[in-house]
Amino acid sequence: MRLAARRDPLVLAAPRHMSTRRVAVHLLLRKGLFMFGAVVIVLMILMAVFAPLLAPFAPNATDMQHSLARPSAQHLLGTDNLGRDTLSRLIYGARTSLIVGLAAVAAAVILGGILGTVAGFIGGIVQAVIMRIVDMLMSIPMLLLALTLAAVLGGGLKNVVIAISISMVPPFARLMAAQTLTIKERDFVSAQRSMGAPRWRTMLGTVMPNAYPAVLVFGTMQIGAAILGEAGLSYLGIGIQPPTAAWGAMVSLGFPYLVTHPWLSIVPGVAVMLVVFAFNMVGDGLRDVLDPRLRGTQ
Amino acid sequence: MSDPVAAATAGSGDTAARGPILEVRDLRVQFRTPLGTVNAVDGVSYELYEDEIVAVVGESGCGKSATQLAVMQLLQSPPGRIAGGEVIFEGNDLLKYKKNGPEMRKVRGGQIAMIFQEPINSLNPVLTIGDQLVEAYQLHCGLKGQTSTQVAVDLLKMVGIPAAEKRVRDYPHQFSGGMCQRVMIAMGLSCSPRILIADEPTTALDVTTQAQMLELMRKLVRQMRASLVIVTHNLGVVARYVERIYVMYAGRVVESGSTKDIFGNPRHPYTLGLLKSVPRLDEAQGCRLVPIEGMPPNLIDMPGTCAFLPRCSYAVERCRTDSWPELTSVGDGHRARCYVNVEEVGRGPAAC
Repeated sequence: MRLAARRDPLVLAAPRHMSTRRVAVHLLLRKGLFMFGAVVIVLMILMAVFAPLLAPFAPNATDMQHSLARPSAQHLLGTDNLGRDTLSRLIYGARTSLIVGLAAVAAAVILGGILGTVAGFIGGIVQAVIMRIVDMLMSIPMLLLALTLAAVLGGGLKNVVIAISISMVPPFARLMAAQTLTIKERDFVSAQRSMGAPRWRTMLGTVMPNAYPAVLVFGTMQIGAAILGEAGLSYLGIGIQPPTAAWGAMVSLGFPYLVTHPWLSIVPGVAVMLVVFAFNMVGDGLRDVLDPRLRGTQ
Repeated sequence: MSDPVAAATAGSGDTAARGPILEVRDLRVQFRTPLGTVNAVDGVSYELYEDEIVAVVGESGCGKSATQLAVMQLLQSPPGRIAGGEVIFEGNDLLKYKKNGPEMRKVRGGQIAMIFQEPINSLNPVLTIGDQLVEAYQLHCGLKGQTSTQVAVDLLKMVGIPAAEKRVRDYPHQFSGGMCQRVMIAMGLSCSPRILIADEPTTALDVTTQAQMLELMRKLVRQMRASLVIVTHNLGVVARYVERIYVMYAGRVVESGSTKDIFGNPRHPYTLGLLKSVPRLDEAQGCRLVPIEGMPPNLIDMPGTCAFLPRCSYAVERCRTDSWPELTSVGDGHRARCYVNVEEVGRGPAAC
C-alpha cells in the first residue's frame, strides 16, 4: 500500500475505507487546475446569482456626463461610451453567459442524447437516417450554424439559446451513438437480456449510466464552448440585444476605444477566456475521476 | 416470496417423473459473413430431462455456444440467424415466440437462465452487485424496493460469499473472477428457473476455482430441482458433475450418451481424441497426452463427407465416399455418428 502510494501521491492521500464518492472528491481536490476552474465557476455563479447585491450601479443606467470614465474609486472599471458602469455590466453579463451556457448545453444534451441513444441502440435504418442528418449538420461549423440560426430567429436570449443548442446537438448525438454502440456490445448487456430484461430497461438502466461519465465530461467542456459561442454572436451583434449586458457585446462595444480605453474590451474578453478555460479544466478533472475503475480505490 | 432461497429450495415438490423438459429438434443456425454463409449449427437435436445435468462438449467454433444462444434467442442478428428447427420447452416452441416479445422475456431468466464465460464482463461496472443481483428477481418475481437489499444479501449468502451484507454495496471490479461467477450463478438462479445454461462457466477461472464453481452449481441446481446444461471444451472438468454428455463437432452432435459410456466406451474418433488429450489421474505415470492433429474445419465450405475425416486416424474407404453418417444408436441411450466401430478396430495408441 505504502509503496504503491508513494508512486502515486493521489492514491496515498485517500485514506482507506473512504466511500467511493468521497474518494472522487478527494482526488479532485488535489488537482490544481481543477480547483482553479472550480473556484472560477463558483465565483461566477455567485456573481450571477447575487448580481443585484454586488453591482454598484444598475447595469443599464446611463450617465452621459461620465461617459468613458477611467477607472476610479467610484467606477472601478470605468464606464463605457454611454456612461454605464463596466463592473456592473460585467457582473450582470455573468448571468447572461451562465444562462446561455447551461441552458444551451442542457438542451443539446437532452436532444442529442436521445437521438444518439436511439440511433445507436436501434441501429439499422433508424441509425442511418439520424446519423446522416447529424453528419450533415456537423459539416457546418458550429458558430456558422448558430450564426445562421440566430440571424433567422433574430436576437434575444431565448433565440441565442436555441441557436447554440441546435448547433451543439450533433456532437452530443454522435458521442451518445458511439457510446451506445460500444456499450451494447458488452457482455453485461447480453447477460441482462438473458435475464429477460426488456430493451428499454437496458437502454435506460445500463446504457445511459455507462455513458454518463463521457457525457458529463464533454458537456462540461461544451458549456465553455457555448459561452464562447454566445460571446461570438453578441460580438457580431446578432446575439443578446442591447441594452442587456453580455460579455461579447461589451468587447465589441469597447473596440473603437481600444487604444484609449483598452480595459473596456479587455476586461470582458478576459472574463470570457477565464470562464471557458475554467469549464475546460473542470471537464478535464472530471474525466480523470469518473473512470469507474477508480471508484472505491483505497 | 421475499426469500428467494427458501422459495427456490421448496421447488417443484416430488414430481420425480423425468420427462424431457427441453427438446431441441434439428436446430440450424447460420451466420452470414462476407465470405459466405456459415452453418454454425447444422441440425442439432438434444433433450434435457428434469433434474438432469448435461454437458455439451466440443472445440471452439463447433457451435456449442451458438446452440445455446439460439435456444434463448439471444443470437446477435445480423449476422446470426436461426435457420430452422424447434426448441420445445414445456410443450411450447420457443422459436415461435418473438425474439424480444413478452413471452420470450418471461422464459429468459424466469424459466431458463444463462450464465456466460467471462463473469467480470457480464456484470455492469457502474452498478453495485446488489442492484444487479436483484434485477432478474424484480423482472420476474415482482419485488418491492425495500426488501431488495435483503434478497440480494440472501442470494450472495446462497452462493457462499462472506460478509454478504457489506459486499452487496460493492462494485463488480471489487470482486474476483470467481466471486463474479458466483454472483452470476446467484443471479441466474434467483427466480428458481427450470433450466440453467452455463456457457463455459469455468473457462475464465482459476483451476482451483473451477471445481468449486461446478460443485456450487450442482448443489444449487439439485436443491432447486432444476436442470443444468454445462457448455465446455474441457471434458475432464465436467466428468464428475454431469450425467450425460453431448459431443459436438463442426455444428453437429457426433456422439451422445451417459458419462459412463462416453468415458468408458467412446464410439466416435473425435470423442476418443478429446479423451486422450485430457490428463487423467487414473492412468499410469509418465503418460503422454495425445493431441488431435489439425484444426476444426472451415464451416463455410463443408465437404459432404464426415467433417472429422481430415483429422481422423480411423477413416476407412467408406468415409471418403459416403456422406456424413447419421447419428445411430450404438447402445442403450448411446449414439454416435461414425461408420467405423472404434471398439472393434481397437482404440489405437492408448493415452500412454
